[in-house]
Amino acid sequence: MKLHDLSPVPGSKKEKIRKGRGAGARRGEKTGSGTKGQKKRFKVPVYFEGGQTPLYRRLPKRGFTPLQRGPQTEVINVRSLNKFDDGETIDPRRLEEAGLISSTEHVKLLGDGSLEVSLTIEVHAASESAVQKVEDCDGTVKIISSTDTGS
Amino acid sequence: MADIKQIDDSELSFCNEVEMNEPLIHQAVVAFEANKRADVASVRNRARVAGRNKKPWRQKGTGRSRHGSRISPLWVGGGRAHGPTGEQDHSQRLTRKMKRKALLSALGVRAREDVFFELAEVELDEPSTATLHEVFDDADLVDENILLLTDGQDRLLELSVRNLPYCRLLKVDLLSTYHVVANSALVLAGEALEQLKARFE
Repeated sequence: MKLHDLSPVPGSKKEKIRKGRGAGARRGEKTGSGTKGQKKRFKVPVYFEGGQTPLYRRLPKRGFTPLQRGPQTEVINVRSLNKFDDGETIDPRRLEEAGLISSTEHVKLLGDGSLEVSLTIEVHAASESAVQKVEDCDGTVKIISSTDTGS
Repeated sequence: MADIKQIDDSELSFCNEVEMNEPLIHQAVVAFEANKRADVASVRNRARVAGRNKKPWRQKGTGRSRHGSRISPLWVGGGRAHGPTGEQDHSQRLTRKMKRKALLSALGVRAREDVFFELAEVELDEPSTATLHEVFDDADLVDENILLLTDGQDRLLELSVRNLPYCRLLKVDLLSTYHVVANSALVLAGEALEQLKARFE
């Protein structure tokens, strides 16, 4: 065996087709692209109008992209919680059912007013005074993560 | 004194039953040659050719064909369109398994062609090209392209051999498929055969 005795897998090497070499050749003129000229060379965008100001530039711009907002915080004060029973567990879903909030996305408990019942409260955030007031009534405040909306 | 003899088939049992895989050997050889390739070809495009880019004559009325630049690729002395840059990468890679299989297959083919020799009992006190030439002459190998594979231990042998025009020198652990195919005789010295076998255990 010598170097020149070796050959690759039969059929694995193909000679490149030389397109566009003369009008008489089978792959002359349109070279398999179906047409001549600009459309033979590359894709012309459908919105291109031959150089005339195209529709999308002839008409004025309108509209805008609305601001992307983060989660909206719902606020609830401890004074609204007196309607619940002693010992009850309150989560955002429960608050929504009671009609105190309209979104369970992000709920913060604040300390306005006074609290008379002992509750276990699950919210996304709570103020210090709110926590104080809940604990004064032998209740607890549990902070849950923002994706959690309660059972 | 030193002596060259054919390596016995039983010594080459690790490869001489291996079936020939011609396409794979071919690929390994082509890859080896491609990896040796220094990309020397380099050419100036129209931006690199010396000359100013002035319009040679006016567009209309001269009776000559329109032209915009004398360094255009259409002109003699103009730049080359899409020419080699000298920065192309021609290297090819084979997976470890492919390399191994190609080498083993090539060794098998050459083993069946009886091109493996053993150089034994070399005892040199100083480098001596004449002595080694005599050894190869006795073995009728001087008209061949010999590849001497060493274990890298015998410095005196390497010095004695490297000026022989018909002989090339290579440490056995650097052996690749290309070397096996490209040389007409493979002579192993010292521990080279053991080291070669160890590669395929």
